[in-house]
Amino acid sequence: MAVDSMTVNIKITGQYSDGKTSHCTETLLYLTDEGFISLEGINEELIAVAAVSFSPRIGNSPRYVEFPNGAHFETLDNDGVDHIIERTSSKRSHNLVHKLEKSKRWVLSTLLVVIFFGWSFIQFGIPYFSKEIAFMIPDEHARLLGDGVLDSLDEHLMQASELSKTRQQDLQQAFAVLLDTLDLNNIRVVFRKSNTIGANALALPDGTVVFTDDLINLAADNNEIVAVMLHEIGHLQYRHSLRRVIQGASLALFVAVIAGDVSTSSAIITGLPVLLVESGYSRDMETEADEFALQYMLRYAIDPAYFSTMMQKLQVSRQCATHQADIQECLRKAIDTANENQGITQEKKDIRQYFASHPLTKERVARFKNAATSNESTQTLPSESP
Amino acid sequence: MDTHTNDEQHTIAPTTNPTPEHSIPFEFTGDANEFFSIWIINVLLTILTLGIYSPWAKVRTLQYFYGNTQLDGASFRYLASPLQILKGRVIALVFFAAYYFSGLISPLATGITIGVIALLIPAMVVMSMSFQLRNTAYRNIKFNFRKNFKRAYTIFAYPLLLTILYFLFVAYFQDNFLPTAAAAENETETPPSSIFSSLFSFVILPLLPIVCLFPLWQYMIIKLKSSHACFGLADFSFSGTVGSLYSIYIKAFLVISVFGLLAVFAFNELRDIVTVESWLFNLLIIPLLGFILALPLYLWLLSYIQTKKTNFIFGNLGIAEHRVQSDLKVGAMLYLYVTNTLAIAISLGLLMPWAKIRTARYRAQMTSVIVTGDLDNFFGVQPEGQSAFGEEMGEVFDMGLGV
Repeated sequence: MAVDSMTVNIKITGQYSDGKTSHCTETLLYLTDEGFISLEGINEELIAVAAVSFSPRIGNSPRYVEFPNGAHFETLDNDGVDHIIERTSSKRSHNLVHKLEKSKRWVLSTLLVVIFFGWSFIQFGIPYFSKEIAFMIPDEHARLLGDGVLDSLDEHLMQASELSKTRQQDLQQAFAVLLDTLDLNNIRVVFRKSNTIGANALALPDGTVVFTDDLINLAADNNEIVAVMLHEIGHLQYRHSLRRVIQGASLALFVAVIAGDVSTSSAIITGLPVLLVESGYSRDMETEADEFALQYMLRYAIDPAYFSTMMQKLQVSRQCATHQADIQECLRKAIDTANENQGITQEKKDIRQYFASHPLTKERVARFKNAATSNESTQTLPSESP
Repeated sequence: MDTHTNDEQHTIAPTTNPTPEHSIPFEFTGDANEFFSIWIINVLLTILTLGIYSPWAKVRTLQYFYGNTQLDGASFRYLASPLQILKGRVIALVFFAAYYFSGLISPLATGITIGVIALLIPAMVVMSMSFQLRNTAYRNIKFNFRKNFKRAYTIFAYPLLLTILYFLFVAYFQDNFLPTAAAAENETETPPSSIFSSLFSFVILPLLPIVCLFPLWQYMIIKLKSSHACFGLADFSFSGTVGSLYSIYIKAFLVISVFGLLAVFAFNELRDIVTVESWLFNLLIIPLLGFILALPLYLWLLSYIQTKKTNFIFGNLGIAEHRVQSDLKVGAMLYLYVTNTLAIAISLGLLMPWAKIRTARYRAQMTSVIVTGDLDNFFGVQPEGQSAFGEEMGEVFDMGLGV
């Protein structure tokens, strides 16, 4: 059969390469009404469409028609090739992905879905999976993370405590009662002096809680220290250190997948969004630890106001030198003046909030104060409480 | 038929120049809007299939970029099948799992796993190159790579040998000289100058041969990769000399040194002039100024090395009587890096397709082939069927080690 004996249906231009040499021939490809393909000036014989394969359509990039003998026909006439496929194939599913890509509506809704997915993955997915993974790891393995942390802190940042032996014993006794009540036997408390860290308490992954002398000196009542201890136990019980490590790694992987393969300099600029997200994770964990402390204070009838008092003290502690003899007096004044002119509440929800590792003190204090006032079992308020 | 095709030839070769040697530029016809649609649908399908679609996404992306890269009226073609790539990724995952779970068994098991993976690296480099080239075609002729594992292992043995020598050297000196250093420390506080001199003699000096031989080692890898590549039956040749690769690194080193010395000098001058409290100066201004000065320098260094190396690799390629020419400009590449990175960061990744397209367009524009005669005389190789086992693994590896 020859082409002229049949009716030509579709005609597309392109170039033919036989696969044996790199020579290209400009030619025409015909589709006949009977479903045969012919190449002008190349093949006198007709080829059944079923024996030919068509490369998938990808935008408007060149298309290839492949022949059984290894030759191919390259063309930019994508619509022409699509016509041939539509005319000769019963399958409706060809070029499915291309149809999605071509539809403005699909691309736009996909964009929205992807943005929504990315956001919710960072917001909920990573924290959720990190939590699940962190709790899957056996306790003794999880604690390995804290190996040597205390030693390295002792070496670089902290010195031996200057608190009196009796004060230390007194506090250890209070903690022992607390841990006994909570039925926790794998947490220990140590005291350290540190000018670098200042008034603070740290929960190390191996179950050690470190109190600095400055923090102990801020407290006027042991219950204030117990409140902080509960917050730190919250960190330990929820495995926050481990989760932080897992979240950090997953976030880095996620960012690498999105921006990784463009250029190496990205690392500098993607650092900012990563910092924002990680601060967000950290704030969520602080809130979780606060919640833990609040629940236990309510259950064991410790006034939540002890916690809010301590938070306020920690915030204003920079105004009073910690070694001062009348430190309590100084703190009280600072807190009073702060409350009077709404000083503490003056931290506005500005941009810095998004970079902070802890929630605003104002919000934390308000939470415990509300709990304290709504708590029916009225406790005697600590003397220096405003 | 033959006479007919010869007539046609004049219309496909846009070579108006009758002289035998003429330059044919690469051309990139991709469009950012079009590629954005392809990319976003890829992302969606990858998410919906929990990542299983990613080999299909990769193939689609590469087919788009190859197809839109044209030389002398014909396009390049990416031929790998998604299933092949999926297979490679599954194997890589098994390796990763082996590494991970060996850690739970014992440190020794981890050591063995790392050792096995390290031993496979040279083979992977060869496999990766082979996978890439065998899956690339132009005018229906496939590229190819003549696998030479022996050469690859020899090349990778050199840095290993140097590292072992380094550790032996350090161990030797620690045994012989450290007691005296400790004794000196007991007497008085070690003056900073002696810290620097011991740092110099213990760390920098023995590391020097490793640093100095790095370009040579890189040259060997470039040479291995380029001179074993072929297009159909024709072999690529590489005419670059090790000297020109060294001159790239030496120039970069000189520029960085000059700026570094200038910075030290400037800060010393500044310290005399500025009367602000010293802690503020030391803690705030010096790091800030340092960062402001170092960032552009770092970006420049990055684009300088990358650009010059690309020009060196591609510009020295030859095949048959034709040569490749690569004229990427450092300034233009630096501009592309910076604007791309900013755009991607600000758009939270959404402008990545645009960044990729404009980079590909610039690279194609600056690359050309100096053709003698025409490109019609390459012969294809008979199809060999399936690719060798494990070659797909090379595809995974390729993500981490592109020269």
